[in-house]
Amino acid sequence: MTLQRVFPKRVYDPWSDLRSLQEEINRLFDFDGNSVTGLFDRNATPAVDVVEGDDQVQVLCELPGVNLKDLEVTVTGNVLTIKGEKKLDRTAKDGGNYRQEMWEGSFQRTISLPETVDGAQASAEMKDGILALRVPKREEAKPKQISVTIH
Amino acid sequence: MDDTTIRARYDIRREEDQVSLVLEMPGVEKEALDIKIEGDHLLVEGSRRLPQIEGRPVLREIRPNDYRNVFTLDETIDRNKIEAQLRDGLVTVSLGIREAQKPRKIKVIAR
Repeated sequence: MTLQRVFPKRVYDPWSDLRSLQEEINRLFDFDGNSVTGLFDRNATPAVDVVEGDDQVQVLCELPGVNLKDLEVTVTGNVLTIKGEKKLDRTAKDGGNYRQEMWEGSFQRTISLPETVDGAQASAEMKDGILALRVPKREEAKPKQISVTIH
Repeated sequence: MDDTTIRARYDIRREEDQVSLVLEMPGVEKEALDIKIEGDHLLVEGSRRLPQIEGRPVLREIRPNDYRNVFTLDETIDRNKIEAQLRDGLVTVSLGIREAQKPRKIKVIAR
């Protein structure tokens, strides 16, 4: 049995104001992860997810508006490089641009995958602005079930 | 309204007879995109389903939240001339401008 402190339900919680302030501030920064890094660094860094499964590694990359022909994905050993260029058609004839939040230009991400991946077997597909890459692990690196028999 | 939604980044561009609104919504399929007009508000909502595998997350930068953007439409926008298309994770909404609000050239006749 665990002992728990019991709070009456409608007691004033001094932290609740602070929490709501924090939520409010978080909302101000409510952009998704990627941003152009630095003032002089023109390379943008798109957001990346890497999940290591038992027999493969999945890499997701957010690349909305990137054409397949402007994208280059390479795996050398266990180093994955995603690079390319995002070109947006921003030519406004007469009215002009009222708001521009999206970035455009070249980008590059280099990620070290776990040592056990087999880069030659990697496969990638692009759908709705998400690049999904799957790299299987080498046979010898996959976890093996060893059955134990009792005599 | 759900607190877990995030605002997609967008561009607004004025063209001759329409206003173009482009939103970045990677991972949103056509069926999961919901665009509607409620009074003077244009709502663009996209729920996303990212490909998932079982395993240990090594790097987690993508916010898996759904998107929700609300825009206020003014009188210049013709409510019946709104079209949208989805390509490569970009949602393009074309908002037609009312005839009466379009810039009109006036010919000056020299006598």
